[in-house]
Amino acid sequence: MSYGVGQMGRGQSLGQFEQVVLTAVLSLSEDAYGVRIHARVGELSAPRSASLGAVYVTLDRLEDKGLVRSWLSEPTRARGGRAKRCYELQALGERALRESAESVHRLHAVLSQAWGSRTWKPARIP
Amino acid sequence: METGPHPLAERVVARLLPPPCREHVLGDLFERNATTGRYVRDALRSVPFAVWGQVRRTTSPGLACLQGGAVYGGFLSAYGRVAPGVLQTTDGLLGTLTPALTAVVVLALRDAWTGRPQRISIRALVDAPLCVAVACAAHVAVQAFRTHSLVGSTVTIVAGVVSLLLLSLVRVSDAQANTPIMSAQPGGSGMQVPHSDGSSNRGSGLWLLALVPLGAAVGLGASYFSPPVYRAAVSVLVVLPSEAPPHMMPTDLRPHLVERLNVVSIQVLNSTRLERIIRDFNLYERERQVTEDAITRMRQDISLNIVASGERGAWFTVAYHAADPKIAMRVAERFASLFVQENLEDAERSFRQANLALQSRLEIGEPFRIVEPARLPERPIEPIRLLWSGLGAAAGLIVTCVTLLIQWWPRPPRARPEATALPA
Repeated sequence: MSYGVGQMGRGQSLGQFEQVVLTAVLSLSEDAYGVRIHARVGELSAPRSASLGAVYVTLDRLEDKGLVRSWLSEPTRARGGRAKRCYELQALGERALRESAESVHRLHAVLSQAWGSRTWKPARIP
Repeated sequence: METGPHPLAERVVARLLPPPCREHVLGDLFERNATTGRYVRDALRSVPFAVWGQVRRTTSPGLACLQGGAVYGGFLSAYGRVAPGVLQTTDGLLGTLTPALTAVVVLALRDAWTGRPQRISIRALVDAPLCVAVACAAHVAVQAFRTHSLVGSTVTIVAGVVSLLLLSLVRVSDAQANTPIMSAQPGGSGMQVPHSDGSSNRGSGLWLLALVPLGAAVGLGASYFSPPVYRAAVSVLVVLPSEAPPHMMPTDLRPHLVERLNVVSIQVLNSTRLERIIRDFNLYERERQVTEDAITRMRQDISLNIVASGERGAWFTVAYHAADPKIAMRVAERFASLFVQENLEDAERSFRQANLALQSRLEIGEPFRIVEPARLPERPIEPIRLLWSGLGAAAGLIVTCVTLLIQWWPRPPRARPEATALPA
């Protein structure tokens, strides 16, 4: 699989929800498809909830940017004979996610320093 | 206990989803919901997003603006030609914007369902008439909803023809220029390799010549929807005084008559008088909401024509155009009598005010006499079906020529993505 450079330039930041969706795709690895991604997004963005439709739109956008790729799996009976659209993180997506994570780390370090005396801790990821 | 949604619910939701995302969205909904109620509720929340996601992938803002602009331009020009006064009102705003927005939505949904045309094809050309038909229907619906609406079917027909021409050009240009990135086919990975130079997009294009007879047929068909226009005329003779010596007679009455008609026309065609005639004959029902529009229309529908002039006399016609032949005849007669009466009154006024010689009397004006009253017109003068067919054929020919020009215009080769690809 190859992709064109320039689809997402270096320094182009991800939106917050895009970060969450990309993280969900990364963490689910082989099992990343609509329902699972939506469930994982719900866990990651708790207490806020996201609709399945919003996840679809974001996945489409990430695919257009070349950050993920998708393919249809074999139909299964559990899905009424319908196929899954599986997603996989691409190198560009991983790089974008890493840059976002570094940015969050820097933010976290500054906030920890500023709020350290107030015993601030980020919420635990489930 | 249900183990899955009702097949009917699933079929309905399947119809609401664009094909490229139908398979996996239906599967996800099935997997998430064991009962029909939950399935439907979940579908109602998810389907709009899925449709929007597909619309976003297949429609660019630039294309949407161009398409909307084409239809807006068509309706704007039609309003400007037929009812310019309406453009300043809310009706004009609704009448132009509603079809344009409808066209944008229809084409966006059409592209989401069937994919954006990637080459010049029948599909690229069929979209435009389909969209214009819906836009015209939306225009008619808005007009029907607003009962005090000011324009008739003429605006819709003219706007439809102009919009069709403009939108066809936009769609064809886009189809040729479009280098697909995302696949609209279900099951595709979404990535497609664009043509290196577009050469594979080029066919002979001879089939496009079929647009010429098609345009002629559409023009002919549209002429049947165009309201008929009847013309009734009254012939008026300008009577020279018999006592006038020949040397005092002007060699050509035409300049005098033109001047005289101008003077009398100012009196006859003044707003107050026209307003009264409009009320008397119940004319221009739609335009009457704005009096100036109705008066402007009436002035456009009246025509004065000097038929012949010579040494001993001249005659001219007063004609009126209307959709109803009886109305045309009666209004023409009314105007003719007004011309005669006003000319007489004006001459008498001038004659009383000054003790004028015969020469001056000639300059002031000769009496008008109706020599041929208006007859009931048997055939409408418009629409001229041959002209409509010709215009349709010309429009088809223009679209054909522009399409072929776009198709065969040399374009610089595009680089394949592989040339600049990074390893995965």
